[in-house]
This record gives sequence, C-alpha cells and structure tokens, in this order.
Amino acid sequence: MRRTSHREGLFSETKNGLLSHEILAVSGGDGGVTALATDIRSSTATARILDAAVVCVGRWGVAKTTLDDVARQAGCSRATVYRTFPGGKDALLAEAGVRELTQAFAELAARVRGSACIEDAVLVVVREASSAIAGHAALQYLLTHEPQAIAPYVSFDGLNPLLAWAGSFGRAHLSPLVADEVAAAELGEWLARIVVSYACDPVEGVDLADEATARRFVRRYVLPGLSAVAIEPGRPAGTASIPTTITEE
Amino acid sequence: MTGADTRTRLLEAALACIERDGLSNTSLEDVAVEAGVSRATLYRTFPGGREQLLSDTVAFEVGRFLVRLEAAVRDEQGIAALLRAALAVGHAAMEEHTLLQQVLSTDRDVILRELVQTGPVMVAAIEAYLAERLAGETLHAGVDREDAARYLTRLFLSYLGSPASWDLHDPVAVERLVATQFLAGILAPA
Repeated sequence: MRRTSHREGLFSETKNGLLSHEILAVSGGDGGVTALATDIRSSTATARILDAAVVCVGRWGVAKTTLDDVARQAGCSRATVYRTFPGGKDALLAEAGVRELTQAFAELAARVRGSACIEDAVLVVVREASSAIAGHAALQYLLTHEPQAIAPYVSFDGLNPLLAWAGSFGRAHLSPLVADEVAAAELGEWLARIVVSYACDPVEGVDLADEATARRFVRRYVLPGLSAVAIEPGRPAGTASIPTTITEE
Repeated sequence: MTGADTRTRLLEAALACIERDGLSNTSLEDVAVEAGVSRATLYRTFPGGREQLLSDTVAFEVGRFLVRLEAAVRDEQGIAALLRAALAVGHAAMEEHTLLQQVLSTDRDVILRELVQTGPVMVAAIEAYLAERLAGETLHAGVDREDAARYLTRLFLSYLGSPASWDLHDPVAVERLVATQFLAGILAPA
C-alpha cells in the first residue's frame, strides 16, 4: 500500500492513509500474505515515527521540533524518518495530525455507541472530545504557546475539513437518535464548532471536559435547539421529522 | 496633521499598498511614500517597524470591519433578526473583502498569525455587544446573559469564518440556524 501525496493538507487522506493498514489487517485484506506482512511492518515503523512526532510537539512545539528530534524519540535513524516521510517535517506533522484525529474520532464513536438517548450521546461527544483535547499534550502546547500552528486548521475554510468529518461522524453515529441523517450531520458539525471554539477561546468557568459543566451546557444550549427541529431530549429516536418552516419567534 | 491623523493615514496607506502590491512586496518605504510622510515620521509612529505596522494594520482593519458590520445590523429589532443579518452581511462582506481573500491566498500564515493576536479583542468586543443586545430580550429561566453572549459569540465567529455545510446566502437556512443552534436555548418563547 502506497501513501499518496501529503500536499493536499491535513485531512486529505483519511480514507487511504494510515488507517487502511489496520483496516486491511482487520478485515483479512485482499492482498497476499507477504504484502500484508510488509504493510504491517512498515506501518509499525510509521506509527512509531508518528508517535514520536506527537511527543516532540508536546514537548517543544512545531517550530522547534526537528526531524532529528523525531528520529531520536522514535529510536530510528534520521534516514528512516526521511525515507518514510519524503515530504519532510510538514508532511510528517500533517500525517500525525490526521492520525491523532482519526483515533480521536474512532474513540468517540466507540464511546457514543450504546447511548440510550440523544442527551447522553451529545453529552458524551462534547465531554469526551473536550477532554481528549484537554489531555492532549501536543495540542495543549500549541494552543498555549503556538496558536499560529493551529490557526490554519481552525480558521476560515481551513476548518471545513474537520467540520465535514464531524458531519460524517454525526451521520454515522448520531442518526439513530435524531430525526434523520441530515439532522444528525448538522448536529455533528454543530458540536464540533462548540468543542473547537471553546478549546481555542476558552471561557473561564466553562470546562466542557467536566461532566457537570458539560451537562449544564448541553441542556442549556444544545438540546433545546435539537428539539426545535428534531425530537424531544431524552426520547428515543425514530418518528419525529424536521418541520419545513420555523415559526418566527 | 495630528498624531492620530498621521497614524490613520499610515494604516490606510499600508492597506492600499498591501492590496496593490501584496504583503511580502510592501516595504516601509512604500507605505511612507503612499502616505506622503517621511520615513522618520513612520518610524516615530510605529517604533516597532514593519512588524508593528503590520499588526496594527490588521487590528485597524478588523476594527473597521466590525464597526461597519455593527452599523449594518444595528437597527435590526431583536437579537434573532440581529444575528440573522450579522451572519448574512458579515459573511458576504468577508467573501467580498478583496484584501482579506488576497492575503489568505498569498500570505495565509502571516495573516492568521496576526488574526490570532487580534482575536481576543474581537471576541471580547462581540461578547460585550451581544450581552447588551440580550438585555432587551426575554430569556429562558436560568439563562445567564453573559454566558449566553459568550456562547453566541463563539458560534457566530465559527459560522462567519467557516459556514461549511450551511449556505449563509440563503435566508431560510439562516433563519433556521439562528432559531435552533443560536437561540433555542436562550430566548423564551414569545
């Protein structure tokens, strides 16, 4: 399996990128055993380098992290890092970002599964996503010391890929709990806006990683907006539909 | 010419130069010539040199943008109409902001770094404004006006910069957006 160009940006290869190694391995794959073994071996080396990059950014930030640092942290040679990421530091960090997000969305999907009602599901998404950001050393370093390294991915059209991803997440994992797929995708995007905004522009006293705070927040601002178009909070999904017009307040 | 006049003139000259020649091609000399002042005057006004001039120019333009936006939506009756107008007008104004679009395509890193600096001031200004506008509204029991203003500000800025799947040119979409995500939890039903 060959990685494609990294130049398209942080989110451009979620389908064909790193995770496909794992998908192939888990699904039994359609390639030969040797090819699979090679894939797994190279993906292990790649994963170690990506892990190392995330550790280095958590320690020194983006600007000061060098490929030498990453090689040392990964316990491999500089040559291996260059061979694995011919695009250099930018490509390596972009792929590390994609992988961190892919993992975060996968963990979120696992946690949201089995939510009995929309309130639980929304709460899980807001709290878990916020707490994943709060506990992510690299992201915290950047948010505090190097916000300009984050800005391209959370500003203007740079945020669109993440929002689209969150919309797909909503469609895949929140649909059973709201009126339909459109409402679920909108909800996913909305929650991503909330999590990203409060992470980048924190409000004192509003820590969405905190269970009680997140629940208050969700009940106050999110559920009423949902029930206005979809279903009553706490009610299992299924029958409600989106009204075609909204009554003027 | 007073100090404030000189300052404004230099900031406007900087904007004109950047729009005409691009950010990286604009020198302090160019700005001084454009403004019709000496280099010495420019340095006296912006002792931090090019860096300070750039930061102050971005802050100046962001401030002007917000002032214009406020003027365009000020007469809207009620917070819902205000937010609808601000989303529509604000987003269109950003799309039509030649200079912003130009620097976003040619010097994205530089402009984002500057906007990160300006961000907190802009957020605080919008929060204060929306808190004031919420004072005239009947809110759901238990809603904290300041907290609601902070929520609305973040959501507003998120949509203003990145509408993503929403078409902010579509009044029906904007109306639904404001009635649900923005205000459903805040405004008490009339």
